[in-house]
Amino acid sequence: MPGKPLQVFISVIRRELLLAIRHGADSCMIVSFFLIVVILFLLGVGPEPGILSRISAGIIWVSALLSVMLSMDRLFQPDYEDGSLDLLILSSLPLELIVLAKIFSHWLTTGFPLIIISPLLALFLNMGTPGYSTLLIALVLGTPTLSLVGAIGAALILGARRSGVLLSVLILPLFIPIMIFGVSAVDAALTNVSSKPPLLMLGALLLTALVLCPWASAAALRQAAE
Amino acid sequence: MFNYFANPFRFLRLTSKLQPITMLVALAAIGLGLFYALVESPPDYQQSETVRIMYVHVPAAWMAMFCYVTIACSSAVALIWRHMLANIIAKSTAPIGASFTFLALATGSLWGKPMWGAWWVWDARLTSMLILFFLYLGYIVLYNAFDDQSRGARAAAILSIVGVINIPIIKFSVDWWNTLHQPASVIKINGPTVHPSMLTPLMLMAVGYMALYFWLLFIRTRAELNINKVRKMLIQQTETH
Amino acid sequence: MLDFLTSFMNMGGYGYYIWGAFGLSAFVLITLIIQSLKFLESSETQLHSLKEKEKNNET
Repeated sequence: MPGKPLQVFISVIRRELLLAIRHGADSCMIVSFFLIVVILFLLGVGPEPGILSRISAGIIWVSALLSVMLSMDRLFQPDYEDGSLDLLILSSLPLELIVLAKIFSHWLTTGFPLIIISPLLALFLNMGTPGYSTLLIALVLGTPTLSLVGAIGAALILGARRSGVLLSVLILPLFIPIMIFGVSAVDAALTNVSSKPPLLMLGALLLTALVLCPWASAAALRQAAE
Repeated sequence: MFNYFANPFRFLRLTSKLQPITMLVALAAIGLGLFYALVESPPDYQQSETVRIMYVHVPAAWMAMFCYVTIACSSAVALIWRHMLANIIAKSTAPIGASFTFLALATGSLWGKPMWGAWWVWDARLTSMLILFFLYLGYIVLYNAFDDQSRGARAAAILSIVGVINIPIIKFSVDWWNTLHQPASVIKINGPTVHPSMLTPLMLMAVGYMALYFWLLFIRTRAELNINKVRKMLIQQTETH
Repeated sequence: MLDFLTSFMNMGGYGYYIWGAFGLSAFVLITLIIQSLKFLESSETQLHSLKEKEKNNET
């Protein structure tokens, strides 16, 4: 893979997206999983509109969290199994940037569909209208952070026993702050309080994760490939 | 000095000497501390007798953070210089730190019920402490999740270094957010604001917990070194046969 | 003496919480100490038995 760093970066993204489209079902499955979890919540809590609208933000965030977590273990696993991880490490582009490209395409194929479908779910859950735009902004800021943080876990569990359960034990606790600020932003909008502070916190988390996570995941990948 | 004690044999000789000393310090400090904590110190004018829970709660919380930083630092040493002993120190510290974190959470809960009226509140300090507990569990599980020991050690080391970001969040959570949890009153720039009669048992318990940590660390590292030796001998045996 | 003991146990009405916190700390830490000592002991016996075996094999 010769060429300028940017070209390599884009070609990694293109490869990932192509793979995602060829395997097609993955993205659909994540979205269906998201829908089913929300509907399970709906059926479990009962159809009382007052209760539903009060917990709607929490339900959407928890379901998004679980969907992202579920899709995470396929981020590096195929590359690890077929050996293309070694090629990625040897590529002219630093591994950190390749990881970033992979995370970005992962977000495009999982986080982004979730954002698109979330207004529909908010409708199901009787969320008040002032919450919609805040929910969307919070998800736009929050789901990339989920992918970034999850990538560290996905890189750490390569080759481990019972890796699926292990992944959830490792990264779900790290998702807690993102969820807290995401939910409190929507709640603030619904109760006519400024939702700016939690949204700013989400933005800060995203920027921090953007700097730290590719670096940590790359370190984890290098030690896995040794 | 670092290289000098990085040799496992010297380390073993040193720890076998320090082991009884740390045990005695721990027993003496905790014994004396308990006497001051339960008998000699006065009840707080605001919190009455429940303030006594502080003497087991605060040192446990300090040790929870200290142990985590120890794990992260020795993990960094293990990753950079590939030293076996650093890995063993990190691995041996994890269960001790997890126990201290559990104690900080549980005694805090027992303190919160009479003072706040609730066993648990979801504020920044408690949540970040709970995340610390999960980080400890994740570290221990990840360490043991690989067939190849050294892979587990390296993966867990990276996790511990990533998780160290949680430590400043715990420390400053009471200043950054409005929480029910009271702000720090002992470790402050312009000196502690706690009355000496309460500071004595607190410091005694803190010294005792610290000595207890080192005693347990020495026991566990010796055991891990033995297990390593056993593993090496078994591999040699299978190779020669 | 008995008065002192009951008031000591009672702790101004907060006895359950205070003794609970101290008791739990003692329980967890003592369990940890016992577990660590047993770990050391078992590792030592493993090492010794292996060394004995090796000696026997040599002779």
